[in-house]
Amino acid sequence: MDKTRAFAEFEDFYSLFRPLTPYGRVYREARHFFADAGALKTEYDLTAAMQAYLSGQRHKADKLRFHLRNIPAVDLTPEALNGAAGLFLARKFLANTAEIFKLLPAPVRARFGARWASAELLALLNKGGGGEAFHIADAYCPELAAERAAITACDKALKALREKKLKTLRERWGLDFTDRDFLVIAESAAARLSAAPELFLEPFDGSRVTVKPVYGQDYMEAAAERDRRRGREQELEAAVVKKLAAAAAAEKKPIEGYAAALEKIDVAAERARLASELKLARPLTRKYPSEIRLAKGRFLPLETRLAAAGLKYTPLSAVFARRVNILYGSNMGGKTVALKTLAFLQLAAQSGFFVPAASFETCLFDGLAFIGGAEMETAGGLSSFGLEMNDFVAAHDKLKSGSLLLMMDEFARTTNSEEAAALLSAILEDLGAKKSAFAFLATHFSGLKTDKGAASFKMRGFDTAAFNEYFSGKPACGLDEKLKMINKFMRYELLEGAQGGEARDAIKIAGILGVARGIIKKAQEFMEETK
Amino acid sequence: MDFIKGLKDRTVFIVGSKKNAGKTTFMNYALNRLRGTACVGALSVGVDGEAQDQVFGSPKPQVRAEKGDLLLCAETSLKHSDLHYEILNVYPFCTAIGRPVLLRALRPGRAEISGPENNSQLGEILADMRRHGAGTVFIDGAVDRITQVAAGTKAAFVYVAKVEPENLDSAAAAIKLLWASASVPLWREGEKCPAPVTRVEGALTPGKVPGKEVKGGTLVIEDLTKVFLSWAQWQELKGRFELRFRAKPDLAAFIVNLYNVTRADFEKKLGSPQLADRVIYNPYELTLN
Repeated sequence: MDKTRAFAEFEDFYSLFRPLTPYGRVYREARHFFADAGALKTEYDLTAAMQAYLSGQRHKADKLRFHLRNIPAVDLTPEALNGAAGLFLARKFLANTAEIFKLLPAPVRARFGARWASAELLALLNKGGGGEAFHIADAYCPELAAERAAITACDKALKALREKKLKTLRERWGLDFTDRDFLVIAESAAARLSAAPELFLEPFDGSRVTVKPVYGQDYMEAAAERDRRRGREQELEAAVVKKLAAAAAAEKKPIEGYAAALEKIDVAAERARLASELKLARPLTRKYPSEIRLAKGRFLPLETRLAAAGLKYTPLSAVFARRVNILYGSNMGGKTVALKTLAFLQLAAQSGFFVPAASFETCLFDGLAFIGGAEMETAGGLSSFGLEMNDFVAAHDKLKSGSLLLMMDEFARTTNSEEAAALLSAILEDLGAKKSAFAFLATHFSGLKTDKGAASFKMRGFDTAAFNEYFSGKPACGLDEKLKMINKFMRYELLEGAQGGEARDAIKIAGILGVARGIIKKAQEFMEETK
Repeated sequence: MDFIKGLKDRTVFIVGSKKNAGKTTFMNYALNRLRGTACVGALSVGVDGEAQDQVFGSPKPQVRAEKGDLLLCAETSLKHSDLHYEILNVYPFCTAIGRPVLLRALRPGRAEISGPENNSQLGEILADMRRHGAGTVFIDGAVDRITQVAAGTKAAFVYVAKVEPENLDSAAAAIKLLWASASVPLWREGEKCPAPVTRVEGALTPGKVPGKEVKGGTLVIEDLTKVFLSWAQWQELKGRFELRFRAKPDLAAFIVNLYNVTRADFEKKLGSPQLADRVIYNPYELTLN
């Protein structure tokens, strides 16, 4: 499957799928592939419901995204709830969940299994603060309020004593401790301070001393009282934490239900966003085997690249009524892109997404496999041909365990054409006989032997007449311009019934790409001779 | 002008010349000076393993917070903190000492600040602190985080050096190098500079300096904190290349804490009266008449 995802450049699209909650992000990482029609229908239904709800409601969509983004992962284990931080997260989770559920109309809530039943717990946690903040508030325990008031009184007393002492030190010794806990002064200047009982001196380095105020008995007693009260405050806080943690843990089941609903809401909202932004349509899936029909299917990665280069993109329309399909076409004629488009749409559909097409009717496969693109690869000492055969053996094995969409791009291109054609013909016949195979083979080999069960298609190819009309008298141009020209005059349409017809555009393309005129002319003469 | 006032409402990195240089002690002083209409924020970046305070050899000084201060602390350190606080956020990234917690002090107290482990987390936390009203934000440490935060913000950095007889030469050289590199202009995309233009990614170490066969051109370095050359190597580089920095955080001050070294000896090593004028000596030091 990884090879198919890579061939279809599916990660480019998948990287746009960015759920906002930790639950949605876990779902995303699982990279689900649905082979079950019922489960997939549920995914589509949820996306459609969310799309219908959000359509034209920018404000609500923004609000939903805001609260989804604020959902934290909630952990209800005793260790996690054993402090204010864990309770803060529980409250943040519940507060945002409540807002999300409130935002959705009852029928939509019901679809996602969103049933709110934690108003009491949230009200309890809300005693700990307004807005985003949370703390172990006085409201949880009257005794806590009393201790804190006493601590504040201690702080006030300590501050007054400190200020009084610092004023005395400033006036008596000229030492200004403003903004500082200590001072560093020259040892020679400190000599007169050594007998001062309100100062503590110790060496800083060889020639200076550190001077700290000694605040006195009153201050020490007030500080000790503060420490004692702080200790009591911590005990009371711990008791409140325990009580709140128990209340939160008691609602473990509903909270787990909220997390499950939020995952669905998050994923559906994100799929709906993609569907609206990228103009995606709901696929129609049937039981295997059935024909594959696509109208104006767009291979998004290429569409994006061409748009950036100012080039036209031609969507793909086709009907594949048979299980074995052969795609012929020119070099640069779009055979590979046609395969990529199919792989992309099928992957998107079976990953639960709507697809970039006016319509896409397909069946569900147990697996997808791609063979090709191995020119530069070697694996375990295998040549690219060896690697292709190895991949084919693996894919062929999978046919025993379920239906497989098999895509082969220029299979056996690295061996001699005679043997390659023989091998391909045998494979096509074999796949035709295997009911679990739905195969697409893109090739430029002609003369493949296929039985009546296989369908042949041809990329329409280069529009010579239009090109000649445009190009006559034009000066030579750079690669970008040449590619634009090929794009302009190549007709990326799939025509049924090519019956092994060969593509004859390679020499023209070579000419456009700058191969010397003499060579092109000679090549054309050779072609004439071989006819 | 009092340089501390110039730090108001900025993101200030406090960078130390070495461990226990006195960064946290300086931060406490600066926090005291800058509390005012807007609340102040403090965090550190990375766990630096400093266990002892440079001044007293006692446990590392904690940040002394006043009511309203915003601090980033590790969840695990809060259990033993003296602080009464409200939590504003708990971040999902887990550091070696637990999740970072953004809090607001509800009364005076002390706490050990902590920080995130990478730049994107730092960006998120700084944005949160600003959203919650922070004016000046101090970041203890993290010389390697400056480039990103410097881009498009009012970032400044304060260099705190501990100078002792054993490191007098190297400490003076490090300050001279920072001072010299502060005069290198900012690289502007599209600017016409002598070719070839070479970009140095990450730290500029002696090994990354183009060989002698490269006679000229322009060298674009990330920022002045990424220069890890000796004074002599820097001089040689400056003689051969036009130099530019991709980011240029404001070098707000050199704070120098001298130990058994006189100002006169230290300034002699600096060899520049202008540079000596820029040095702020230990702000805790008082001259008595």
